[in-house]
Amino acid sequence: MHKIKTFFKKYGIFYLFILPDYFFFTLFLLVPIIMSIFIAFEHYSLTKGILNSNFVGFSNFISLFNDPIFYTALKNTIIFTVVTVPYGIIIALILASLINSFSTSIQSIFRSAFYLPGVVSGVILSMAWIWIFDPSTGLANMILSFFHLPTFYWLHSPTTSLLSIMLSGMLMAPGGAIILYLAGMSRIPKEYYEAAELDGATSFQKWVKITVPLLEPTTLFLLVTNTIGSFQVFTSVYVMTSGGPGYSSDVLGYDIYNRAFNFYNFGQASAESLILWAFVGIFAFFEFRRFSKVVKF
Amino acid sequence: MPTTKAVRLNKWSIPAFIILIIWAIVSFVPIFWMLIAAFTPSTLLMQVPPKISFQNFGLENFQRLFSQQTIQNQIYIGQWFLNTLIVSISVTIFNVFFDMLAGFAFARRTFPGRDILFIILISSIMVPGMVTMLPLFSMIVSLHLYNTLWAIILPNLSSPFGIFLMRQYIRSLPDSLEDAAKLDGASEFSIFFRIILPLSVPIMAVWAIFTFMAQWNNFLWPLIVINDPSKYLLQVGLSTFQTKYTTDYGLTMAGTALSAAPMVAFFFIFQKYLNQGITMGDIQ
Repeated sequence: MHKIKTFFKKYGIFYLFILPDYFFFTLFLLVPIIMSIFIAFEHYSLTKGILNSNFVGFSNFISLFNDPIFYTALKNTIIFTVVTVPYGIIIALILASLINSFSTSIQSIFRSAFYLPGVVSGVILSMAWIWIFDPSTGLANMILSFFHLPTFYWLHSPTTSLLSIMLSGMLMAPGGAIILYLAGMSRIPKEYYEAAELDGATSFQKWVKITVPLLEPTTLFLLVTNTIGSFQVFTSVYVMTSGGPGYSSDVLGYDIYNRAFNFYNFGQASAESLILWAFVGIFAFFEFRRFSKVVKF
Repeated sequence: MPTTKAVRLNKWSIPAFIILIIWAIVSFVPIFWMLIAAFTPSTLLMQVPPKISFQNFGLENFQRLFSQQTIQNQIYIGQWFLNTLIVSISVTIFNVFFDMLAGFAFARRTFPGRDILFIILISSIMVPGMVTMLPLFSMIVSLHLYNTLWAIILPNLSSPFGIFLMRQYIRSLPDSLEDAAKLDGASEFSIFFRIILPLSVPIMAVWAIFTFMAQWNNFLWPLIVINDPSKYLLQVGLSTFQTKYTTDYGLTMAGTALSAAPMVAFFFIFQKYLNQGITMGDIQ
């Protein structure tokens, strides 16, 4: 008893400091993580709750694996990630390198110009893109027909719906990534470049041999965070196409929402969210592994 | 050669500049096009090709946004602004304060279980939000919080990443500052409020701005837990334009332009902090 008293006298105050955060963290993050595993193995009903819903083993997973829609969503998510994530990183690296060659005042102007569109919400940008992609009155087809190029149905055609959503993201400069790369570049010692210049290296050689390799930590960070984000893409799909036409632009994030809140199948949705988690985990793991081999500091 | 970096132009400078300008323009196209639509009467936008000219610019769409007819269609844009403001401000204040409290204890004090508690916190960052969404929803329903703003505020009051940021920052403050206060017998709370908190204003500002912006733009969670149009947050409300006014781009874009304005203003006011904040993320 005495021991407990002195323990609290000594440490109690520190637990008090972390209590508010840890309370909400446990209740709204830790507990739901555990609950999600339960729900995935249940024929879950909102009225019965987690403890009283029927346990169904792997049947949620089995019905997912027998559902062609799930494979469409998975395939689209992978296409989306494999195309947009590396593309965004490469563009950010190139634009940041170009910006870095100018004086600091020009740098800050471009940094702002590229970051500004990013503060506008995904819903708003997606709605602007719906108008741009409108087959009859939209800007996209206006530009194409001006140059006498073939026009498209964009979001309204199953062959171009996913591509259109990807394109809308790819035409925006990756502002956050550019700022990260610029910060990384400012940390590279000037001596490296001076030494290379003495050896007669060209600008391009310096970029390939010094800039790019020394920015690997930033690249890794971007790769992991953007992969996690891209696997959960939801807003642009929900607003622009609702996964359609048909299921042509369905992605895992939207499919989980759709199963849970349009078909009220929480069990399947939860199982799908665990599969998503596994994919994110695997991707992140390999990205870390690959890069820890390359990067040596 | 005594040349400064500012004047070191070479043969690549001009092409580089042009590429950057083009990219910047392309990035602004959606926002620019949105503004044009917002100020052009919808009847002109629906023509093929749309009739766009500066002479026709007017506020008609914005007037319609607040008209009786739109309100009958359950477009309560003023109310949505208010709801979003209430949620974003309360989340920001409590999130920053709670993260500071925890960040301080994790950075400066040793107590049993500290490291394991911190590791649990940090590993949760890798869990996709999609995983916790459904159980959280069922929890909100059983707590009778469905369709209330509490459903959005409560789950956002703590942030593992915020704690991580605060901890890193507080760790970098010199120990000597606290020592004097300790000699005077100051309590832990007075050390926190009188020494650590004032010194941490920069990081608190950065985190507050990011939390506020993230909350303002948050979509998926408010979409799920609010069902009553008068309780919608702005982003969710905007997304309903699409089903109600499918091709009325003038009205839709007036709504989105109005909702984007506060964030753009925010960007110009707090640009310096935003810049700092983004680069803090990768220093691990």
